[in-house]
Amino acid sequence: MSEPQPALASSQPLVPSGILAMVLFIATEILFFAGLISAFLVLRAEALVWPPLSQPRLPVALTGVNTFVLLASGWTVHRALVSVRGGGGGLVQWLGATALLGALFLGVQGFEWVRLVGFGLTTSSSLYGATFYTLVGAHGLHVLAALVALLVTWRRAAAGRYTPAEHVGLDVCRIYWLFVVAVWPILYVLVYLV
Amino acid sequence: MSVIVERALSLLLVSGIVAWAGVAAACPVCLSATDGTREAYYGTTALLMVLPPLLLGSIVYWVYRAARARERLER
Repeated sequence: MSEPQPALASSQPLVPSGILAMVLFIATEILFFAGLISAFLVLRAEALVWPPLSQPRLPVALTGVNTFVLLASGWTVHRALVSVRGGGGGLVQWLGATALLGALFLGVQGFEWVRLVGFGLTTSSSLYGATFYTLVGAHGLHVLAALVALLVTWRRAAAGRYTPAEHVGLDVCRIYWLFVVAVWPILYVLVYLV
Repeated sequence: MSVIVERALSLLLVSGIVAWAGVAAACPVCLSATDGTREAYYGTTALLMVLPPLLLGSIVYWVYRAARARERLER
């Protein structure tokens, strides 16, 4: 007689519901940003001179450094998942580092915006300003939402809610964070560099 | 009212309407007929047409692969 096989968890979903929901949500978010980028590209193609001569130039170098800050936060959030899967320590620290990097990114963006408004670049000053604040602002709001989710996850991690066997909440948060990180270089190249 | 007065009033009315109306710049085809705009329009239309089936297809394929992996595990 063969030994009884360990019961496979066929009753469990193929993909955890939370992760599937987040993936579907991100699909809608991709379409949202694709729509904004499409409008930006068509309006930009229509302009004879871009950026308009009378409008201030964007801080390319500072935002470039800020881009690396956000990319680094993508690495730290991934390390958080690796640490919880390995069962070792460091989860709370990696999540904390991710939150700090995300907050730094938002702080620098806010600082830039205040300066640009001071130089006369507003949503009503030109199409250039309108598209800039819509695209970059939409991303900033997403980073803010992801930061709130990250802080909730960080608090749960500090309370010991995540284990190597059960950490779907952390994974959901990580996927969303990686999405906002991945969108930014595309926006940076389109809005600041090209 | 004589015909002349009627015609004068009509002319005044039409002149008033013409003078009061602003310039209508509502024709995007006339104002944006550059090659760049047309290419951007075609490109972004293609992108927005391709993205939904691509995203949904990717998700379906991802779930399909998870199902196949479980089948292999159960065999």
